Order: sequence, then structure tokens, then C-alpha cells
Amino acid sequence: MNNLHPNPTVPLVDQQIALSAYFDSLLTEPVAGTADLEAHTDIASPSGIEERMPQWAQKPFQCLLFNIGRLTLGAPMGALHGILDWDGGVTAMPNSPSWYLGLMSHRGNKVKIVDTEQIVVPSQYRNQRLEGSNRHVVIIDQCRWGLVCDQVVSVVEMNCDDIRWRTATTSRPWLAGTAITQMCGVLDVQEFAKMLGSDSVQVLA
Amino acid sequence: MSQNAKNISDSNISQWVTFKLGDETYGIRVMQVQEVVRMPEIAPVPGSPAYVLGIINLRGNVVTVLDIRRRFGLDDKEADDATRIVIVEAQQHIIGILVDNVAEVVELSSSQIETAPNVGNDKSSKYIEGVFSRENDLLILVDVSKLLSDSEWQEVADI
Repeated sequence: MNNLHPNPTVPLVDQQIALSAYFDSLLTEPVAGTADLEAHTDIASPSGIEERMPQWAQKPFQCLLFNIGRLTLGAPMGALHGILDWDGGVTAMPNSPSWYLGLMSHRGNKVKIVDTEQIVVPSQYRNQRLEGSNRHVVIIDQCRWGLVCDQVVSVVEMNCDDIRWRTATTSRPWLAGTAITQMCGVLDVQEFAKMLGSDSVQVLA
Repeated sequence: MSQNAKNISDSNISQWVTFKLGDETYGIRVMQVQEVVRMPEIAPVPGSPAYVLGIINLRGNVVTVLDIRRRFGLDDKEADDATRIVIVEAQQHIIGILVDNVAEVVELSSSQIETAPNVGNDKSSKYIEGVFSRENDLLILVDVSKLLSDSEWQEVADI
């Protein structure tokens, strides 16, 4: 069985700021090619940059905030299929990419467990588990995928104005935007699952 | 149960030899397994492919032993008392695969075997026949004949 991040580390507040800056840079990162415009609504931001708001955000929604190391991420509750305590137990499949930890049985489903940290957290900020945190798995996409996180923080009510949405030219379509008050990235869960199911998963350097 | 129904039921039952590699348990069809032997001396073969550990002398026959750990992307492990070589027949070749230990033989009905969900262009998907859910873990069912590509089987034949 795989065990992630055995080393607890000391808190580093400036790294949270750095991670926020990292996500902020992703939001405006240009990319070549044509983006998939379905399930999004283009809106005009005060800066004049065209932003894309997912359909699920057109009404107030509940957002689960969770930590991956010292990074906080949000995900709309409506797109989640469960949150489980996780002891690190998976069945590792041979010859798998490093971010795919293996399979876990959950209510008759075989959930593919993902080391979310490798995909969303730059390498220099990894392996910084919060002391005393218990890992969880956030189940998404009809129980096809489970995203490992270190701590479930809270559930907050949000509406579209609470988020700075990504621009139409942003790469990493799984990043919907940044929650302004919480200063954390908000996942577009559907896009994240789509990316996981493709051949284009990239481990961040 | 009528005899006919029993025959149909029996035809859906398969037997699998299970073995461990690291923390995971794998199974290969009993029909493919010829025997299980303790680890003899393995003689390396100069210039052999990376997936070949070497050859053994099995009662006068030379058998090529595959490094299944390397094929599965696992780290090397020192052999110990539990280490075994499973002699299997696949693609008309007799080969050995080195495993950490051999556990048991299990009977599975076809309805208990689920397709293993793969990710992206998962290289393992071609030789993983399926998975079987057990109480505490999953049994990974391997099709030995697909462990190697056609050209690799040919290379093994030429050793």
C-alpha cells in the first residue's frame, strides 16, 4: 500500500502567499489553441478581460474548502460524490503514472485514487502536510476518481461575485477561478475529471 | 441445481494462482501455471533484454525467467525464503516469473471479475485481465501471455 508524505513540517505562512500568487498567475496564463467553450458563460470583468463562469456558478452554491499540503482549494459541493477518511490504502496498479495511486473499493465502485498534490501543487511546495491532519479522499465524477487531500476545512456558501473567474485564454481548464475572500483556487470538477481521463495529465515541476 | 445448470455455472468458474509482489496480490490462471519452484540459481544472459532476469535449469530444461517487477514498474527486492519462481506456459513458451511469494489458489466466477479501470494510455491495461474485490484489498488478475509484446516473446524464444 502506498503512504504519502510521512514527514510533518512546520507552518510557513509565506508559502501560502506564494501558492496564492501561483494560482493567480495560472488564471491569466495564455495558451495556444481553442478552448472548449461549452458549459461556460462568458462575462466581462472590470479589467475588460473576458472571464468564463461555469454554469454551476450561476446560482449561489456551496463550496467545499480543503487543503492539499498548505494549499487550499475549493470545489463546488454539487459536483462531489462523497468525502471519505483515508488511511492510505489503495491497490496500486502496475506501471501506473506516479500521480495515480491505485484503486479503492467504495460502495461497489472502483475509485481511481489520485495524488492531487502532484497535479496541482508545484514541486517546491509539496510534502508539507499540516501537522496532525488526517487525509481524506474527495470522490468525484460518478465515483470514478478520488482526490487525495490532507484536510477538509469547511463548506462555505458562495455566489459568482465571490470568485475571480479565469480568463478565456487560460490553460489548465480545471481551474475555474480564485475565491476572493479565501484566496484559494476553485476547481472546475468536471474539467478536472476530464483532464484525468485524458492522456494530458501533467505532474507539475 | 440441474446438471445442465451446474455445467453452465462451472464453465464460468476460473481458478487463479495468487502471488504477491510488494504489497499487492496478483493472480494468474491455473491453466497457465505448470509448477512453482523455490528460487534456484539464476544465470544471467549477456545481452538479454531488461525484462529478462536470466535462465534456470529446470530438470535439464533451460527456462527463461522474466523480471516481472521491472515490467510492473516496481523496485527490485532481495530474494528470501518465500521467493518463488512460477513456471508458466504462455504464447507457446515456457517461462518463469519471479514473485515474492505464492499465496493460494482461488476460484472466481466470471461475474466476480471486473474490468480494471485504466488511466490515460495506461501501459498495464493490456495485461491486466481484471480485478476481483476481496474483503481488504483487490486481486489483480494478470494475463501472462500479454506481459510481453509479440516481438518480446520472439526475443525470449531466441535466448
